[in-house]
Amino acid sequence: MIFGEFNTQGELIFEIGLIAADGDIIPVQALLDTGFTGWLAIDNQDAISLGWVRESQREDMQTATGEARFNLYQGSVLLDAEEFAIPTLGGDELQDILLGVSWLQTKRLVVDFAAGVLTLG
Amino acid sequence: MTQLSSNHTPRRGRVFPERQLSAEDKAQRQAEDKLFYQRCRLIFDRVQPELIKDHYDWFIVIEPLSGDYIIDPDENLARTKAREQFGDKMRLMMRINETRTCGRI
Repeated sequence: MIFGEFNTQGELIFEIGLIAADGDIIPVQALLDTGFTGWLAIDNQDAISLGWVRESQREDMQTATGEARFNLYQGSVLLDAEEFAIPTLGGDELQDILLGVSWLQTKRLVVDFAAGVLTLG
Repeated sequence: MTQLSSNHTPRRGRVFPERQLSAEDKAQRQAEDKLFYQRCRLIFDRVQPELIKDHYDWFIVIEPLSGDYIIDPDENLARTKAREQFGDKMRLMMRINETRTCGRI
């Protein structure tokens, strides 16, 4: 189980490790976004810099501003001391690294803003 | 054993913020995306009315140059099938329903 934190805007922040192709693990703060149905979303330039394999496939997604295409990468993350190989969406307009609701299939999310509790797993 | 990177304080936002796309590159990518999408969309609109009867909510991966596509109810299997069938050829995954989209972001 990992402990996250609420930022001043009440967003759900978790620290994860992005595993680069050379084995380097880069700790980052990711936003758990319940409006994201996938696993992980990241900026295209970051995915490329991490050396993640880019698939010859794009995926059509619904966004707040309409239908848009995202690149597909083979992402690799360290979360709660476990490595995961996950389909990762790459975009040019993403402001944050996003964790999507797919994680909740196997990890319990506990959110209690009043009690200051935020855990995943 | 995986090594921890010592020089990075975990923060939000871009991992490598110095690596930015130029305005020209961005515009070119948007133009390519538009063309790519239009080609895929043509095929999607053509096949969806028939497929939607028995395959509602199935994932469809369209390779626009040949017009070929694969379908599967599971998104991971769809990705695998597409990899096997299309290899290096650029393709688009969509969904056989009113939204056309695989999910939300």
